Amino acid sequence: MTDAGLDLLDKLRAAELRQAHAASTSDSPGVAPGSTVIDRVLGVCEVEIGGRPTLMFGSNNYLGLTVHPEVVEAACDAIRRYGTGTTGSRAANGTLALHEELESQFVDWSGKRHAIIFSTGYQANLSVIGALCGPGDVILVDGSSHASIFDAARQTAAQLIGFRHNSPESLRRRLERLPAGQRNRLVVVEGLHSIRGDVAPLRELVAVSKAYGAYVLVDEAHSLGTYGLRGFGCCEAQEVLDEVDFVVGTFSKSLAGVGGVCVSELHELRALRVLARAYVFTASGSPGNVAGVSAAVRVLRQHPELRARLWENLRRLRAGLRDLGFAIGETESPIIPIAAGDERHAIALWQRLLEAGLYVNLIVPPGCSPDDCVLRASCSAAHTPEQIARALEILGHVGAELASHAPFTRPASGRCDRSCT
Amino acid sequence: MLSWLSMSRPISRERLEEGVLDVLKSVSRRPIEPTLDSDLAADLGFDSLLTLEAIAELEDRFDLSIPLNEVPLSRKVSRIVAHLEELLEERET
Repeated sequence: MTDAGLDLLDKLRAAELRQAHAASTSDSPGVAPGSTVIDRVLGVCEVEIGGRPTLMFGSNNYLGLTVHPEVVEAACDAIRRYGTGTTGSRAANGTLALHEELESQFVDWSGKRHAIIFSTGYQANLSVIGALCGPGDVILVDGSSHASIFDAARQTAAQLIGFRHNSPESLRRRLERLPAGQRNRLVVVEGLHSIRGDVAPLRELVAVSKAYGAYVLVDEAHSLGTYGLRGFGCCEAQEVLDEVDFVVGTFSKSLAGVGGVCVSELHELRALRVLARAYVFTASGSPGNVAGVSAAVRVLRQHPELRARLWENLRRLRAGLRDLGFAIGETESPIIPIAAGDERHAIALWQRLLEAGLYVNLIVPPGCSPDDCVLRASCSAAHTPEQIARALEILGHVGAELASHAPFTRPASGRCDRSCT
Repeated sequence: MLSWLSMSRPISRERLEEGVLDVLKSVSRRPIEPTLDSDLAADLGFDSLLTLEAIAELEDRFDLSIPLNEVPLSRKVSRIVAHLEELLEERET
């Protein structure tokens, strides 16, 4: 096989071989990673997998709104009134009053002048970055950014430069190499990292970006709803919301649906409605989904105690993990990376936890270094103290069972790569 | 720490090659002896994460930006050296 490839299918065959090899070398022949099927949802944080009740500590349902009565009723009511889908693009027959209402809600919530919603968070990044940047422009991206950010940047003909994760100095050095006096550059960072669970130093990153004439886009996928006094994310929490040019969020975490949004003070954002291919050439969000998200935004804003409960829960979980001797990420956040050793051990640990009734996410290569695999646990406001205690009991038991293979003494860096280079 | 590059004079091909090989050795998670004919993935075990780290380290070592979308598809060390040479020449002009 050459770099060009003699057969299109060679790449797929190689991927299948890798998966088969990983499965064959696993210490315990349990559920294959990536093949988990949830048969039933028993409660907001409990599901049934393989006939077993399983605690869910691997979702992004940070506020537990997927089963909130107001959210469910709003979604059902919208389906009854508008049907199950729009069957059209926002640019054609796919704009309902519901879509504009949700965009107005984001304007009000963010305090920005303009908001556009998208069919997925992935498409939000494809749209915004894709429309903003082109030949001759420069996109500077945190090296640990989500795949949607890298894909969005690569689809443009702009220069794509990576800087070290959450490092204002690394960003500054790369900005300094660019010609002075121009504004054809965009810096993209994430508020809360989806695997590492660490938070970007936005004040410093924004200050550096502005010093070199760059626009700033902050992706708040995991921080929308979980950070900030009014829940509008890390930009709000770090008091830089006024200085950030574009904030992108997703509906598939705290907002309990599917979709994405971009808010901006800049009038030019409106041009995305004709320029952004991932907005124009795709069906708009379905009525039930949009109405559900709209209700979720209302509930979230009216009930800040949900956020307080989330933080109480994650602190309890983190303390319990530390008491058990697990090495976890340093940053206190709803996302908790747990060091799991090499790939073989991480898979075995993940499978044993699942068999014991606990689901967390498994992060293995190519998503991380081979010796730095991670179990990504996440917390919800909806977790009960009993569920957290039970989860810790399972983790303690399984961890001790497999302790001879990995002592869990190294801190979980949670380093991961979604760049797909 | 040795300064690998002086902004006031162009770097020789030999120094560039030495620098690249040194960076690859320092970034690698296991001991390696890279050569110009080595392939990053097949011979040196560099996955995409490690490749990104190597690129970041090369940028800092040689004080230049290496656009990710212009990194050669061929991951042979010699091709990477050639690419850096092109970038350095662009910077000098």
